[in-house]
Amino acid sequence: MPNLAMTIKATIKYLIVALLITIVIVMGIYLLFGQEVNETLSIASKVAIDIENKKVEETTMNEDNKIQNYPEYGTQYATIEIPRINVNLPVYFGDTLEVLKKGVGHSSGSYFPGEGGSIIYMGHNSKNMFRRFSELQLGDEIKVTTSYGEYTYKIYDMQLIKETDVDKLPVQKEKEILMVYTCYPFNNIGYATQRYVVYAELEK
Amino acid sequence: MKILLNIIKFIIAIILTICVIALIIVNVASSTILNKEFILGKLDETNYYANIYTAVKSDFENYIYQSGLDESVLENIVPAEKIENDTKIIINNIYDGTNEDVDVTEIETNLRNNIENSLDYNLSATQQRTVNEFINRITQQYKDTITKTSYEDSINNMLEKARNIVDKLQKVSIIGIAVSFLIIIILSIKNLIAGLMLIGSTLISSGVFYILVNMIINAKVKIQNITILNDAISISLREIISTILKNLTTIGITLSIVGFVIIIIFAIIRSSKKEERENVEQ
Repeated sequence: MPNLAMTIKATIKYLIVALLITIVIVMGIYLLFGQEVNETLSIASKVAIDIENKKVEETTMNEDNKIQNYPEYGTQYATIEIPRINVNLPVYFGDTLEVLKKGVGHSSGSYFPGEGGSIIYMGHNSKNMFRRFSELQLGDEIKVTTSYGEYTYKIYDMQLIKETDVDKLPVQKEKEILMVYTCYPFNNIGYATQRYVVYAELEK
Repeated sequence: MKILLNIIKFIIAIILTICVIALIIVNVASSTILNKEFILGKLDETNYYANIYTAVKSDFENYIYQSGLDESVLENIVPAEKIENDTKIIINNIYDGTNEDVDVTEIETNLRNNIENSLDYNLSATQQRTVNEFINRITQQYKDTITKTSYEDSINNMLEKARNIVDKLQKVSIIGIAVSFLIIIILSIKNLIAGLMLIGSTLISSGVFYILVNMIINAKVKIQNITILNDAISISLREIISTILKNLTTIGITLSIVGFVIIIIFAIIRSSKKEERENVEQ
């Protein structure tokens, strides 16, 4: 009959050896590749977004006109109202086709309302969006309502540009200008290569 | 002398464990991510083709809003079987190094017919041009959604390199395991049971290592929330990663149990022999 105490003692001894081997290997990997492993896991955790438990902070503006907590890409943060053509639409931060399917897109390279620079919005020329842009007149108002304030802009120019004329949509920070554009012709069939741009300056 | 011998045996045991870990990694890699059949199996299992079909239709709809055309022009322009075949072409390009292109002529023809049938007037030259551009955008969008990469050649080269590394690593690991196993046995020739128990310890270490890896990855990365490019790709990718981790954990648990059983069996044999010896001496 085997001696139980002796058996347990020998088993524990070799389990400790196993533990030591594991510690040495894990420490070795950590010392040699720790940084790479952490970076890889960090990248992987960024593409594994826990949407359900994600805390979304409201976008606000401080006294120095600086935005706190910019909205997440693809989320709605404002509404745009153009009374003349009966438009009242949600504005999303982002300019992908996926975003434009939901409402008006905000070019991610431009400023936010209230920041004092160029704001670039875009939307489809479908019936319930900007199909009636041609009815707009100089002096018409465009109202943008965000979670941190209301901004009214007055139209001062309207232009027809090519889709490649990016210099006609300049991003600057000297003056708050809202540029809203849509595809042209409005009754286009197929892929439109022209854009109808409405320029408006901040009124209040 | 005995301490030196034990230190040498411990070092060899570490080498043996590393070789076991490496051999398992290369075997799991070559049977999963480096294996075309595994990937195709997972795409089937996760309903990839149906999901990518939905993604393709959704991407097409993005263009319809500004086109002035009715949504019905997109109906039946891509047969579901075409999506499956085209996906397989891309997988073959990546895994087998073939250079086949996704043919969009059928989509072009179907779309053009649908557009012409939906309009009750003849298109002007300008409209004809914008319609052609619309068709080009739609077909390009199809290619983009299906392939999601223009680097099939580069990926194929990387896979080839990975396969070569895996082959070499497999050979090195097998040789490493055989040599370190032999050294442990030779160094423990006077006490063979102790040598075999040490090998049991290395199996437990390898097993625990994989269990730890799985625990760390699961703690740091929420696999079921991985989101890349679109739902179809994300769902399949999550399944592939989960399967690999599950395989590693199963291997880890099996190795730990086998190692533990080896230690217990030889501990019993050793204590029985010691008991017998003591009885004979008495």
